[in-house]
Amino acid sequence: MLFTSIDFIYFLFAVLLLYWFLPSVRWQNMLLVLASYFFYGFVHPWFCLLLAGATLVNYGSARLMTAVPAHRRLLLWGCLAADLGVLAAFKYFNFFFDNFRALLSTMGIELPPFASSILLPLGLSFYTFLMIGYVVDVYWGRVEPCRSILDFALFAAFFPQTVCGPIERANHLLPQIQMRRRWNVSIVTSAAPLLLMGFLKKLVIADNVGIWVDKIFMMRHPPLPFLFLGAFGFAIQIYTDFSGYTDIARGTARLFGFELFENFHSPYLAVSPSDFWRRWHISLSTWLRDYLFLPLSYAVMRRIDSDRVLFLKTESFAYILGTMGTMFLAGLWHGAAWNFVAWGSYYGLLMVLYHLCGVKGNWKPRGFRAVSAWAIMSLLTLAGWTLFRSPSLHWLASVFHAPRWGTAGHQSAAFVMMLGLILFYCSPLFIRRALDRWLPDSSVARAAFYASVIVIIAVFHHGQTQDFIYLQF
Amino acid sequence: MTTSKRRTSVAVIVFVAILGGSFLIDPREEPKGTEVRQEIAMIQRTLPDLICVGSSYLAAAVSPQELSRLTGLRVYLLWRSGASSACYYLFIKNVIGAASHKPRFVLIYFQDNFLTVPTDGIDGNNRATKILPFSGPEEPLLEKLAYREKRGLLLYGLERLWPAFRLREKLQSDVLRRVEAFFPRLLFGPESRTPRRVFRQVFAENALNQDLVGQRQLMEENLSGLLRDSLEFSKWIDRSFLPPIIQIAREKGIRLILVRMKRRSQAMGETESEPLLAYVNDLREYLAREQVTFIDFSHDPRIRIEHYGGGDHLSSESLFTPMLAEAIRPDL
Repeated sequence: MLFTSIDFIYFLFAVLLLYWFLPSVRWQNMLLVLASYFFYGFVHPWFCLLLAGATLVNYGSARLMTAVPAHRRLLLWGCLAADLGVLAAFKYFNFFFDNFRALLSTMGIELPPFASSILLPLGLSFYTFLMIGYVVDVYWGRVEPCRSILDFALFAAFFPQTVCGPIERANHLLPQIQMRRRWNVSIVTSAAPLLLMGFLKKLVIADNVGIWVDKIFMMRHPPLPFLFLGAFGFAIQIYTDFSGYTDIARGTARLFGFELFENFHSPYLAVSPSDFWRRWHISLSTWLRDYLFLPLSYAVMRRIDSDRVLFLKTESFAYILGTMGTMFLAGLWHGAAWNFVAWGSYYGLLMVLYHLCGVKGNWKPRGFRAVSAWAIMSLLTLAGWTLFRSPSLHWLASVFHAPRWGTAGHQSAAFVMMLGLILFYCSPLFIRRALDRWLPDSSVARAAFYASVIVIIAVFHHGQTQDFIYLQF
Repeated sequence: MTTSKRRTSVAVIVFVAILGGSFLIDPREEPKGTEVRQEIAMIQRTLPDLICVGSSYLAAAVSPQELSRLTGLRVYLLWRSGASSACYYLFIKNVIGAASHKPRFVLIYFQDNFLTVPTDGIDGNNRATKILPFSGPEEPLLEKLAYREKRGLLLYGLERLWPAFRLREKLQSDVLRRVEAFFPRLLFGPESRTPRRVFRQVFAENALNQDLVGQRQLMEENLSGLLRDSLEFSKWIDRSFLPPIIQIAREKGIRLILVRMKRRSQAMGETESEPLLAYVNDLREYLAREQVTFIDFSHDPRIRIEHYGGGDHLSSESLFTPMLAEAIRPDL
């Protein structure tokens, strides 16, 4: 079920109504588990089997780690193998098989073509990471294993976040699941702005801007200014699409008395690549930092005895290896295609270059340096989105192979019109930002803004809404 | 009253005032039935024996003069580019059914499951240029089968109550047209080119990579799952315009001939899916029960890929018109 479907509105009202009349937290959790499985299996019920299987394996492994501490390590690796095996089988089989086949073909060995026609279950990458995080936390002793299977099932399947995150942490969500939630009016008043902004971002901005982005990236050979505009439009589309989803997810969770992670923090104001990843898809980037980058970097450092490797300090060498490995996998996590891998590796490379230039994670330039750093980072971000959105690396190479720098008369007019339309659709975001900055305490201005948002959604929503971009990941 | 309460009250009043104000927006929609009289007049003037109903696919494939010469019947084409099954229903009810001259035959030209998808082509520009101009003052069946079905009860109810929401496409189009024109005028002066024409030029068929366009369409169809759902004949037949079309024709003593045309993808050798084959079988049986002639050109080897122009349009009328004349002759 999609947040933007009418079915979801009916579903949400029905579940909410029941939920707040239930007498205890146990009943509330039970209803939420049932509702979450209904939500998740609405189109393809078999998806639920996979989710239930993953829930049982991870719950059981974590419990066994405390029951049989001698085998904790074995249990951890077994559980990780099961989680990642399922992810690999469903998400990466075709990609790896095709590339393996192409590799063999270069050696003169021909394998018959084969493509698995099994659908990628929605949210598989998200809930796999959620559960891996939990099991690793239990292994490291950061959290106690969850005793109640019901609570854990809700942690794994809680419908606002199952499909596209935010990727929650056990120490943040599990205590909320175990706590009694009571109804009060602030639940609605705090959730409504998030829901409205989420629907505005998705239905009005992302879906409408996406039309032009799609057209540009479907051109045979777009002139470079068009490619730039396409990347600019896509930067807006993917941000409003994904942060719109997150807003709806957080707003929906609030309606049930839960607080989910904030996933975005003005990512396009970043001044460096690491700053960008501290602001973009925060729940994924912190997950990658905690469960991949830091363990990888520490493991590298532990294995090197000397102070320097090549011309670098050991810490820098470990940073480079950790960053490149993490960002390569971050790219692959987004999708089984080389342009995603290239996108992830591109950010890895940028982070390493910035690091080597002395720009570390906590860099905070001021004044003119801040503006310059922001401008450079914005261009680098657009270049990254071009890699990400291109139909294929081959397409991108062909565009740059014989670049068309200028635009003919009608193309210039089209460029200006599309830019105008994109900015027009984004105008509510600028107004919201101005309100936050200049009238942060004005309830009247906010009331006027949100009433206008309702009217804008009613009039300007795109008639045929597209799926959320991150659903495919 | 404390300052905080006063602020909250003012905020609530502002919120309600803006939202309530939107209920007062009532832009006028295009008038209904503007093209009905004109088409009826054409029928009265040409007195056709056979009226062919369709979209631009029909107009690209059939020459009325040639068909007339080959069959000995007076032929008239009633078509609009992009006409949907809802539009076909309006053609038959408000034009053919309302004209005092009744043709002996009405031929409906369609593809695949087109006739049982009542919700296609009813909004936006289609509503303004094809639905409203052929509508009568009240169209309860159109409302029920097309709009209520597409919107669902909640949105349909909201449309009835909230004019800004009901006429959102018109409002949207008015505002966007201004936005589209604003920046070019600002930069290139008042003589700058018409926005819509510029877009059409820039994103013309030959400027787009057709493989990517096809992939995108396929992905949308697969993701939405709508295609498979819309191929369930038994689910859709009673919710479609086909039964009322058959009923109107029967009441008016008009013989219906349904012609299913081959698609470009079939000419390229793509095989039909199992659900589509099952759908066509069900349709064939249904039409046989209703005593409606069904002619299926979808597997005709004479129509080859080189006969196609843009999309599913044939590039010339000369191939198909004689084939059609030959196929309908036994029924005449």
